[in-house]
Amino acid sequence: MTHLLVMRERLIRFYQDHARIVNALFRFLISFVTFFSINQLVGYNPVLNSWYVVVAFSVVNTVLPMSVLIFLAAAYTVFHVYYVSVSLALVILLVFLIAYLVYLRFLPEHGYVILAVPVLYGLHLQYLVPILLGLIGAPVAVIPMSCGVVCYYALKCITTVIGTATEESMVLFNQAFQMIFTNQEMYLAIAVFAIVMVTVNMICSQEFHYVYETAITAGVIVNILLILLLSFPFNVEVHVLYLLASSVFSGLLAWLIQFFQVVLNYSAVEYLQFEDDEYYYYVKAVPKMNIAVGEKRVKRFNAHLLGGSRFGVQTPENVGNDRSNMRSESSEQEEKNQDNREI
Amino acid sequence: MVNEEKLRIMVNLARYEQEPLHTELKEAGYYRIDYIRSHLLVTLWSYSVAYVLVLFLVALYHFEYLLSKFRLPEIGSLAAGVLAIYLLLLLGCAFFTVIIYSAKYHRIQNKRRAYLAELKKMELFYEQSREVNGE
Repeated sequence: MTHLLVMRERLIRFYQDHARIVNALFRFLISFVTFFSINQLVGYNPVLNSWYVVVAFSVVNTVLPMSVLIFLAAAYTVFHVYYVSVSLALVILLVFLIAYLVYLRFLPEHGYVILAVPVLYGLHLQYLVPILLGLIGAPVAVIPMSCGVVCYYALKCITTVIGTATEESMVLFNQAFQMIFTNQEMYLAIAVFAIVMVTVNMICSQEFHYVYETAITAGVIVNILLILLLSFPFNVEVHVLYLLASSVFSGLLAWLIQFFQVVLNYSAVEYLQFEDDEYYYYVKAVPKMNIAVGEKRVKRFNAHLLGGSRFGVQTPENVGNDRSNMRSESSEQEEKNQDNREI
Repeated sequence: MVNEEKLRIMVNLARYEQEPLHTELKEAGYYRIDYIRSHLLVTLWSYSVAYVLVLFLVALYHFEYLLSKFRLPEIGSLAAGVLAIYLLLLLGCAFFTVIIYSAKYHRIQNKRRAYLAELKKMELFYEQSREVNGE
């Protein structure tokens, strides 16, 4: 724990010193992962699918506002699908437009949640979404999270339809829609994610020690149990080992993010009581855990004797230099002593 | 020499003058009714366009059915149904928009008051410094 706290303090200090570079790097990384995930999911266009285009888009995104990333990701997806089916590209474009007009126009900050869900699905970290949103978000985040799940499964259905299609026609659109609306896995994911998120959020709003750790653990357990239980009525095949590993890893990641956000020292909780004219206050003060990071100082003994040579190996030139240095230092010392005496 | 108090006030003011607070402060200058009405218009326009797009998608999905089975009286009844749903949707939207933007107007008014208080502090600070300098 102490090592983690020291690392946290060092990272925070590093971020404070190099905030601009770290922010730009972070933006680049997020953009890169986003475009990479889209390529993994619907990488039909060979031009957009190439590494240099992904890197170029990511570099452009480092200087643009983060909101542009959502627009670019949507356009990127549409162009990919357009390469294989014009009708499906039109449909995706319309769906994105409807989502923007109905929801994102009024709550643009929720666009990141919609974008994050398919990206994390691509990284096999989908169970991180409800736990993390439960920790840091409001219950209303269930809506963009569900939209993100629908977006992911819609793109997955479209890839399946394109994979089986022999010719481009409007029938593809009907097939894709039928596949999306009858996708039991999607309904299962929406239901489980919503319940996990609300559970984590409700536990986080309680007041007891180690509330975040409890919430994350509860989120992981509820996620595993619900998926296992509901997979029978929803008729969905579940890989138990993958589910367990992914859920536990997502829980650990959520804890790590929470740890870097805030660490509370429950061993030093203070309960305060005071009053004013109108109220009586009962206050529970939980101090944040901070640790002083020790700075390494290298103290050299007889450094003047070592001179310019590395590891103290004396060469004939160095010996001469050292002697002259010693002489000059001793003469300086004598001069100082004389000055002191005069004073 | 840097004056800490002045610096603190200026930092607070700069925070208010950055996006998205800046836009909110600008909008806080409107009358309540104008503020709600302008947002109501934008919302209704957005939802109308979205409704047309949804209708287009639904029509595309049932394209063959619409071509083969539809006759004039059926189109009339369908159009009436579509219109009724549209009006209901608009009513619902208008209701929620008024509630949400009334609350938001109240919130941004509080922010505006806090911003004006900071401006007042700044003005006072300048007056005091002028008095000290004997101007």
